[in-house]
Amino acid sequence: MMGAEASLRLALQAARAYLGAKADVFEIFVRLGKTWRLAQSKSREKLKEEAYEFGVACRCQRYRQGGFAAASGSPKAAAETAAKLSLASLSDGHPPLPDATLLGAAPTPEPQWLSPEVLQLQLAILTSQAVDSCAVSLVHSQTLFSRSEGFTASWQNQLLLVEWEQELLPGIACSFHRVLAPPWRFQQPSWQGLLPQGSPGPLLPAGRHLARVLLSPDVAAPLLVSLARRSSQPFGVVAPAWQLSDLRTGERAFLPMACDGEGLPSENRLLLPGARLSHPLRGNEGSGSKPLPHGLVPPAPTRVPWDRPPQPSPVHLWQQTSTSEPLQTLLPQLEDVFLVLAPVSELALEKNGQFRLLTVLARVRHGKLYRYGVGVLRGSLKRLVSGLLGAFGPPEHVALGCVVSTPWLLISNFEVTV
Amino acid sequence: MEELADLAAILAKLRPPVEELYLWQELRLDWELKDGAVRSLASRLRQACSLRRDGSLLCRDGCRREDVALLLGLPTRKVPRFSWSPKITIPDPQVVSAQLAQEELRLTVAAAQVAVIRPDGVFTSARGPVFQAINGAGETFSWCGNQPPPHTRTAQGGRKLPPSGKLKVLLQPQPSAVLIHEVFGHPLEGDSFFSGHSPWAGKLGTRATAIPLTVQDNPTLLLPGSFLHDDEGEPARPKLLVEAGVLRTVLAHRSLARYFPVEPGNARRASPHQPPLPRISNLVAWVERGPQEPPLGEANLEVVRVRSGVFLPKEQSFLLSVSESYRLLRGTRAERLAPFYLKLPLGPSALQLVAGGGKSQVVAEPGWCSKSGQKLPVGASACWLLCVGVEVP
Repeated sequence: MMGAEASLRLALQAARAYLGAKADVFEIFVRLGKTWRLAQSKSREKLKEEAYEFGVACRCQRYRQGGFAAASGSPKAAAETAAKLSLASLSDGHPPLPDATLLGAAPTPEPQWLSPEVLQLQLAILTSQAVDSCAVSLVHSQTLFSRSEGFTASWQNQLLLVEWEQELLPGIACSFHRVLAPPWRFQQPSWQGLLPQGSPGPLLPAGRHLARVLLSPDVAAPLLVSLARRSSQPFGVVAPAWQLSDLRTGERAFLPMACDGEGLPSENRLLLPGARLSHPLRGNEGSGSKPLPHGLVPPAPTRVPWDRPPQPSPVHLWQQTSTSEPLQTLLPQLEDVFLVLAPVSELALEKNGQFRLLTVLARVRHGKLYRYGVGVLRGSLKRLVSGLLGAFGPPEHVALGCVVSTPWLLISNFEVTV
Repeated sequence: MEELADLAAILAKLRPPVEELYLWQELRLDWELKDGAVRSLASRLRQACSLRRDGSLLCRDGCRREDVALLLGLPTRKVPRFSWSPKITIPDPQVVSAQLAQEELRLTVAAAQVAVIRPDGVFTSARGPVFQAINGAGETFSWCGNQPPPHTRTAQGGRKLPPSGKLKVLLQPQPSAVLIHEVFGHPLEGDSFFSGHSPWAGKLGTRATAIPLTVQDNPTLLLPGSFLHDDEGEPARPKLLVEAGVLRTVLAHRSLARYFPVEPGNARRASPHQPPLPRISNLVAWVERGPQEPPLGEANLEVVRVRSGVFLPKEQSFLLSVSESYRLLRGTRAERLAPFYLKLPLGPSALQLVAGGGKSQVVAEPGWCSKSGQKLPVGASACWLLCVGVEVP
């Protein structure tokens, strides 16, 4: 990221010069990103991509009104455009900027930068697996946040992303998006080795069934993101196995940042706390459940993507594992359960928290995977919060607009339609 | 234009040959409409350029001479001086808001200008303005021009479970449009078609529906997917994908047109950061000489609104995520049903449609389409359709 610092400072100065005399209070958010991507299509055609992004977002306040604007381009021009447009956008309804005494920065380490050459190796690993199309991306970014009062913080991030499409059943291609953690080596999802044990076919007599379901990280991830974004909704009883956090600092955080989207020092936040479990498979059948009267703790505001106003939204969700035993060890302990392997459709979520998801799922009987096929998973976020019996296996890291690190989640009484 | 023509002359000399240099500028406004007032207004002006050549896509934010020089790998002095600062006009949010009946919505309007510079010429084109409204349930409605959609209300789901068994289902224009988009639109996009992943691969010229259904992709209509030149600079052409039930042609871009006997003109990209792909623009569907009124008395179920659809080609079926529907009893709505998935089987080679008709109506919901991570506005207009052998899984 050589030379990046000068561009960021130039943009900052240009925006400050414009807004200084015209706004009562303002904040400037500058982001420089470099992305390298290697993709291989279904027809084995390769595409190499390189992108350089430079953007400035300004939020200002004048006469009790707020304004927000973002612009991309060269540092000076983007900064001046964003500053001008933010003043032109002054309107009611914008939340006020936080009090300057609350601003602060948490320490963030500089990433150990990976070279774009790493992509060749990752693509070779991916294409050696049975995938239809795939891509690997390396993203380097540098961010600068500044307030009119003088507070300034900066930080740098790196992400290595892997995406691929795979036909799990004839004609049913599922998309997977993963984030790689050190040692930066792609590993197939944990259920891949299990499929050959079973065969495609009817899972149950056609109809609706209430069942215990074990959600794969790819299926759990969109549900966890929806849960974190609906934090204001009251959820009633919370199962003890929950330990869902939003990570923004420390070694486990994939995207450590000095401050949140509004300049408050970054902190890891436990969004959904649960009680300690004595035995994960017995779950909340005892007296461990406790009511959660006011919904989840909301995540801190963030700017993902950079050109939107700060919103309470997760950056890196992390669900704690109840037991780190791998799935293969766990299966023999399960009498009758559905493994929900991968989403086929987008999550359809109603206003009341009811959801439906078309999935590839497998039935496990007496500890063995026996059939797999397509089915609809139906439930509610409320049931998800109260029905978590345990979180199994090491976490896998799913990319979904944010990072979701989650193990398999065992839930009681979700509806499965086959 | 003349300055950009100098750039085209430079491109013509470069080796390996350049597919195109693409300049893009987009202005977007977002706001909330609450109690009739515009609130939380936010604006975004983005500009970027990209270059495609030799299996690579290079992209930079900014459209200056320096940015283009970096893409081309030339010293700035070797790139002709040019300035490209197109005018983008966007309607006043107050005026747009005043046209909408619903009081609480999130609204967006976006307009863009693009310039495609190829060794053989320069092609400029406007995109939009395209409007989008999102209601409290997260349902989206998109439109173009001064005619907002007739409603932006939340789908009304009931509590009753849908009936089981084989059903005869009436699809109103919105679900018909989603069905046609998934069953004919995507599988007739050239990249899917020629890679053999489409159920229609190798079946051009054969019958796909028993009824005389016609499906046209038409980027020249004033709908959300409109353009005059596509993102590779090719002129917009209406294409009959299905003519009176028979599969006719596919959507293609220039790369496909080099190897297959197809017309390009359907390349679209969400931004310069992504490669152009053959994509649907505005799909218009109608049934030749079909009855005006749907045969309500013949159907068990009337589907009014759906959120999305998934096509399962090898299973020869199509799933619709139904958000508003009614059980029909002797041609009248007996009860409102809870949201569910509907499975529409395809016959050995064809969609099991037994009737269709009425005026092809413009459909605003959802008004966008996602493929390979690229989300684009799309238009739709469809008539009612009657399907048999439908199941509720």
